[in-house]
Amino acid sequence: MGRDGRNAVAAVSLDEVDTKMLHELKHDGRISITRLAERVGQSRAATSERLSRLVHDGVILGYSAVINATNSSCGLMILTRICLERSDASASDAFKAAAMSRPEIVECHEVDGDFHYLLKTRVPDMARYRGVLAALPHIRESRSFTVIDEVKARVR
Amino acid sequence: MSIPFANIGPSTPAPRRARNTVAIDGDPGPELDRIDHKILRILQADGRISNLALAEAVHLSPNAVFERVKRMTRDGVILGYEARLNPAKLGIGMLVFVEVVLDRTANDVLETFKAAVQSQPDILECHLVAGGFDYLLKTRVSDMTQYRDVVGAVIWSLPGVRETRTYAVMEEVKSSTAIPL
Repeated sequence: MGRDGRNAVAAVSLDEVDTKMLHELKHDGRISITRLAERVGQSRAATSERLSRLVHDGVILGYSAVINATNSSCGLMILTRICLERSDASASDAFKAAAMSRPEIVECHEVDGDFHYLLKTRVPDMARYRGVLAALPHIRESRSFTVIDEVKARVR
Repeated sequence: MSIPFANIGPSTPAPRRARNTVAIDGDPGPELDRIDHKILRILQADGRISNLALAEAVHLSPNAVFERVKRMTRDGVILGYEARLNPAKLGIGMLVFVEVVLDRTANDVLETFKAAVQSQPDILECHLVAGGFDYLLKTRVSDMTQYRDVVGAVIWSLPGVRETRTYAVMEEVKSSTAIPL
């Protein structure tokens, strides 16, 4: 599908034990190897080896603490549709580079539709959001939608 | 049809103040100092870091760091830990956003819709927004066949859907789950 490298990579084949391991690690990223081995019914050594393979193959990218946004300094989520003034490579590269460099922008997707990019931004307040938008180059038009309820939140 | 790992994550339906929910009641939550923020940043980047390495990184004793992490977990700042998986490697590399407009003639349409979304594993995220449309859904699919299943059947079978607009993602420029701190 995408021109993106991540979308171009082939899926790896996973057996039932791999799948179960990933499931456990998705729910408890700090689970000990001993406990993980118990949960998937394998030896510690076999579990450890599988884990290394899953990391080596790029299936597991890392581990993260899940932080409650409500309790942080960025409780406001805003979705933005962006149209660029031009669609040439230099404009889109400059836009993407700027989006990458702003930590408040947690997601940026190039979409196929009547606008070019969809952004997801987490900010403490609207003043910060204005600052984020102002820092992005080549915007012809933007429409912002404040999220008033995260009905379902999930990682990627 | 649902695919493995499209649906894994925190169990749903989420409680009202579950992970990443917007503070609608204005509760600022517990006070966090500069060191707490640093600990959170490190744990977001490496959730399996040892207590000792974490202590060294923030120049505190292992015991002091342990107590801080314990406190933030107890206070609901840290909700848990998860592995970050690569969707492309799992065969669900195609990301699709769907804007949904609901038919608001029925009173309970929002609640019914929310409940249906929470029990539908193919839908990864759902945000109620102000203005323009009602909900933005995020879904991941493996291919065009599954795209048709999810967008054509699953989403249209949700209660109260009047209109949908679908956007296929051509490039995931940035896709982070970390909260900027």
